[in-house]
Amino acid sequence: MQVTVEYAAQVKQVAGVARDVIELDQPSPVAEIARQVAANGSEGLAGILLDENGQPRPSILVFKGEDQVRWDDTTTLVADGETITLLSPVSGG
Amino acid sequence: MALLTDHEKAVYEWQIWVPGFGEAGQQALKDASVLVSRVGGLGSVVAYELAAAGIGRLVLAHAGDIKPSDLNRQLLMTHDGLGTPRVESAKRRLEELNPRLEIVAVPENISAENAERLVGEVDLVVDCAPLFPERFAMNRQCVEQGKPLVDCAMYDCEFQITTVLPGKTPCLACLYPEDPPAWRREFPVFGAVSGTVACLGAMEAIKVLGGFGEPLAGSLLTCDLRDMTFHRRRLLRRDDCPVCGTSRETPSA
Repeated sequence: MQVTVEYAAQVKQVAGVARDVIELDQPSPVAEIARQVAANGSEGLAGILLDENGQPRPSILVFKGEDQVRWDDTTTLVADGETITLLSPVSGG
Repeated sequence: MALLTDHEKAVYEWQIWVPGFGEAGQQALKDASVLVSRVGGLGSVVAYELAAAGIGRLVLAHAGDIKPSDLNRQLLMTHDGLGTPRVESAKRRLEELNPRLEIVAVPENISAENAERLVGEVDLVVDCAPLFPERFAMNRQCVEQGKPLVDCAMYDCEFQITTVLPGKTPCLACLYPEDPPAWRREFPVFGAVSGTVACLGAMEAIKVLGGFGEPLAGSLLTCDLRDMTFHRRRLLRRDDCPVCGTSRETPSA
């Protein structure tokens, strides 16, 4: 099954692309997908998504479709054909 | 409360015609006070639009002098003002636009030390600050004092904006429980990007104060102007948020 992962703000910059399509064996929680994205991506992408313990950084927001999902939510699963967005916080200036 | 004068009704006539706003909305703007922190790329345009719309009292907080690298987006700053205080330039230009207003120039950035006082002076805050500790200080005081906070942000060709209504919506600390480690003070952006989200932020403030429309309460509007993709995303409130959570641990006395 395939899931689209879209990147926003600094996550997009380090990913170097606006989106990827990844293969999953089964519907999966967002944290698991983020770890897979990090494992398949550059060192910079892994560094912005995960902390030194391999856990998703709390300041990175993740959405399934248009709905925010918590990183510790293991019951919301992302299924074939669905899209998640990984978004880093930005500010003013 | 000073009622709208005939001259003010003439100045604001076109927006008084907006259904749901009217003279009552205009009177609410005249009676309102708004803190804009800071008056850079975002805050300059927020303050300009709010001044044009007739917000009675604007408090502008921004330290430092005008630099050449400000001029691509900080529209209240001018070439002639290089090396002079930003808030003085901002105050002067806003008074040229709308001399009916009270403009308070505060040559300080928001911090944990001054946030309580400055937020306490106003009815609503528009957060345009570049550093997260400033944003968190404003967020905390807005939640504690029950003041709406319009949070504007940008990067490259993208922007993000949400409106925090304390007690009703997620606050900034719900979204970002830590100072984002990857964020840097200086970043790529066009003035047209900051101006776009600034106009949206000003409109959020006008709606909340004027009592009409639907603000981005509990929603994050994100946009990439490279391809004009807009999303209105639903946000989650955290029960354990250290600032607004209902189950947060309170410090012992």
